[in-house]
Amino acid sequence: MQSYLYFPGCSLRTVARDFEDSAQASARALGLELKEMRGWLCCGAVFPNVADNVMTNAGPNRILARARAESDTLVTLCAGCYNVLKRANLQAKRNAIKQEQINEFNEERYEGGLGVLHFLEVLRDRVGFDAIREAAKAPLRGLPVGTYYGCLLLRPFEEMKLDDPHRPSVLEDLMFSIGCMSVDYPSRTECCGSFLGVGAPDAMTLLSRNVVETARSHGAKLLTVSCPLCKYNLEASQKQDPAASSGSQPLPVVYFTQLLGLALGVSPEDLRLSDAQFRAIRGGIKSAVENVSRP
Amino acid sequence: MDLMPHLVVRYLQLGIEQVFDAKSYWLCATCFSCETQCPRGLDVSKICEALRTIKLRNDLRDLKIEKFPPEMPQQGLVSAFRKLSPY
Amino acid sequence: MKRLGVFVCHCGLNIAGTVNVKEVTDAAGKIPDVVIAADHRYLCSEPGQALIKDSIKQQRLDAIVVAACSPAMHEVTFRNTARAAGVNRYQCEIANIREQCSWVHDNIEKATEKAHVIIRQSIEKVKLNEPLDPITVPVTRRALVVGGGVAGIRAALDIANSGHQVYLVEKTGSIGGRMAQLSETFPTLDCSICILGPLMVEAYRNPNIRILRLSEVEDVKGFVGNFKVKVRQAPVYVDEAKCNSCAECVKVCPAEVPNEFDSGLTWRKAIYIPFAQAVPPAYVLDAKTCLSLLPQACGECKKACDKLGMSCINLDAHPQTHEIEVGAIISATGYEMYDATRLTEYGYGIYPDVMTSLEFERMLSASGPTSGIIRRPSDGRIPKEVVFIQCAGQREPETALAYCSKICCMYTARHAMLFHHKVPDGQAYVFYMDIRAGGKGYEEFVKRCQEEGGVLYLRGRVAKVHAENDKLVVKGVDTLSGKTVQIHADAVVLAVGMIPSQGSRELANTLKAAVDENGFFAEAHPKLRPLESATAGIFIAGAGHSPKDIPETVAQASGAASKALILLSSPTLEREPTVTRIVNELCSGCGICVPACPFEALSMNTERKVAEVAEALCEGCGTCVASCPSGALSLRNLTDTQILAMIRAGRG
Repeated sequence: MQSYLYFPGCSLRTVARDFEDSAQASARALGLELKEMRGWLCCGAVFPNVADNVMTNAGPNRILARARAESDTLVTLCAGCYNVLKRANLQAKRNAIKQEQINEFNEERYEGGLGVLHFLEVLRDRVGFDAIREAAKAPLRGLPVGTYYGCLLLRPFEEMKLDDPHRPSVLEDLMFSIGCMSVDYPSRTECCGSFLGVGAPDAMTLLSRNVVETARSHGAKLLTVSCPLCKYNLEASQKQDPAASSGSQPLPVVYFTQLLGLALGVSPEDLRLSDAQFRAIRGGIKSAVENVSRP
Repeated sequence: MDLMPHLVVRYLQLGIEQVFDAKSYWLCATCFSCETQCPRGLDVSKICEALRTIKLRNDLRDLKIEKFPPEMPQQGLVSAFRKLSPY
Repeated sequence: MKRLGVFVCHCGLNIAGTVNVKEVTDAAGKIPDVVIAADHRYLCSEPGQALIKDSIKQQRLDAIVVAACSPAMHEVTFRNTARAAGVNRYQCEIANIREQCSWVHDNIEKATEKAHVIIRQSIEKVKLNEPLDPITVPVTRRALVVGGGVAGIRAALDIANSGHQVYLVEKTGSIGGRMAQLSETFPTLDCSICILGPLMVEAYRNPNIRILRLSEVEDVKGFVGNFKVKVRQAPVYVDEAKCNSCAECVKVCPAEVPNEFDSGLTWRKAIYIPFAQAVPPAYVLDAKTCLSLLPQACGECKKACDKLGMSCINLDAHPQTHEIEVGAIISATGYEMYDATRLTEYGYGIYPDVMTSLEFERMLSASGPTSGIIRRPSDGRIPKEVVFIQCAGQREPETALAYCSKICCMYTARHAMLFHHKVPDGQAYVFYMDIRAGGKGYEEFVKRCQEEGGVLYLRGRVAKVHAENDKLVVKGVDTLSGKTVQIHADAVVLAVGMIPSQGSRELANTLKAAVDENGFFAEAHPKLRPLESATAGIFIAGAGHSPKDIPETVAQASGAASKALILLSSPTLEREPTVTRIVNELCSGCGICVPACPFEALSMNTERKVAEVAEALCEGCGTCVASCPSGALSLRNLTDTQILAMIRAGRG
């Protein structure tokens, strides 16, 4: 069984258990093990964008050092953690002076040699979508899903390099391999509002609603994400102003690992799918099948 | 958006101090869409973060929240406090 | 002992600002054998040169050292000055105390010390210089022009009309190039092919021009005035002399591919005429698409042609290699469009109604895919709202091309106006960053287009284009008003950049000419020698040098032709005599030097078992000298003895 060292992150252990559990279940179904790294801590949620803020790098570097002691690869699920750890790793390589500052402050030194991957990269580059298609015992026949990347998976592009920043396809390709039909809508790489929900909730609502409504108007029956904050924002914005969706049912938001697990034959309970989410998926498939059957 | 991103940069180029009075840089979510697209590689999100940091360090004020959004993942809370406090 | 003169130039402050010229001159004057040392503000000027000439005559000098700027600037000047005063040209040495001293240092003391050293070294060298005479070689008074676009045609015509023969080598089946693809040209709105056509026919009919179509330059040997070129011509399946363009072959051909001339908007058969006004006026069989070759599975075209008694088609044709000898080569290889699929934010290649400017140009053309009617590629409907995006993938050092393609502002204005002429109830929008309209009549033309076309110019970039139902939603900004703009367009036209034609880098390699970081042919000097490459005898013209419009292209073509004609104006040419000399007594006949020479100037005399050098081919690089284990080879006026003397002088 191929084992990957894995970094959960705080949110996945608390409010986003559904993300982690569905990821672990999907991994098992694909013959992979996501082995939790020893001594992990909060990644800090943000990578500092001001040049003199070195303190915020201390936490991520501890994670990188500890992970390096166990492996040369670290897999993440949460887009936020992925962004922070990958950029911290790159900074360690490029900025020797800052890295020395951080290393002197921390107890553990990080001297490089770790590769930070997102689970999607493992699925795309190591497992391969063809293998996933074969393993999908219960493909989600035609489910119209809106893949939502958000920001942190893809940008800044020069550092993240996961996929094309304007027209990425890794989530669509994954969805396709498990039988879903991804809906092409323009806001799949536009920001959900991120932390603005805390201080400027109206701005967050504006941004998230833009994503939800364009996805809906292009035919998506649900959205799939890779970030607990995106999920929260996309759901919360719909609760705040139901009138904006002109009375339609709220568009459910699930993690891509939940859809993946479902297609691989994992039970909805093990994937922590709520009744409403599962009903929406079943309904989405049903309407897709009906649309095809109709002459 | 009161001051558009390119105007934030322009004000800075011309040394116009009113840039600090704008609201728009507080709304920056550091989504990096600007940096991805800019033909000259400018990163407006970094500039906005720098503006916020300068203002916060001068004013030394912390983010004060009346009501926390219920059930928001700690990722959002930590991000907000780190972005909108004087580090 | 030679009587030496040292002349030190101030070059205004270029040298004197960093080097203590007086000190250096005095020191030089004290060196044994230096009879006179003088300084001057500008040695290259008339009075400066007069100083040198007078000093040579008065002091009866045998050799001189001129301490000044780089030899690349004025070596020829000062050598001629020496000659005018009766001193052999090769007894004049240049000590470069500018580019290699004053211009790269700011510490006056150290720079002056360095200048002392440089001059001492030149003095040591010139002491041992032999008097030499240039090598005279014959010039092949014929030219080769690579590329049959308007630049190549103009250059070929100018050379031909001056009485010299010229080969015009063209990669495709017809000359004409990009200009033949255009509908109208700015600022006159001349029909492009109407003004180009007569030139094409003139080139075809000119007895001094031989057009080699479907041909590429494969190999170039030799040197300026004496190039031996191998031109490989693809199999010519259709006899150009017999073909009368009856098109019967096209009717029966089963193989179809996108038509390159129409930028892929229409189809053509495997046997086709590049365009209606093609010159030579003959059909072409595309070997890659044809089903008839090896094995001859089809052959329908041949059958049809034979049935008419024409017999123009020979399916057994083979590629031919033409070996030609020319004295000058002009590279006029032109441009193609940047690959717009790389601009993922615009959706080119995903949405059929997003097109490049060249595709839109073909659509405007009366001979184009829609006979000049503008239609959406997706459903054929006439678009009412069309968005033109300038600077698409250009002026973007971080994300695409860094440079500006110069002509897009002009042709976009024309496109927008012509669109309005053809679709009077349509609306054109142009997203621009600047309007670059610097040519004669250009600014007035843009204004005319804006007014006549009722075009809405929006100053800003487009962030994203996506499809919604059957419209294209264009999200951009107008920075003048400070508002974001969203347009539901029927079609989007991208003004993408001009990049050098495919094969330019390989051709440059073959010609041993340099290209710049963008793949454009590099000129010898951007200001003063824009039409010559750094390689003697190779000239450049047109968009293969940099993006430009037609007037500039034609002007450059005539300019390059005149440069070539200077070369061809004399039956002989002088070559530098500072070449390899072989001392036969020392040569052991090992032959190591022969393959070492990059210019194939060395050979073994099998009878006498010694190496021989063809002085005319030798470029004086010294590789053979370094390779010779016996020391039989040396470079004239740069012997080991001289070099060692220079090193010793450097140590002080």
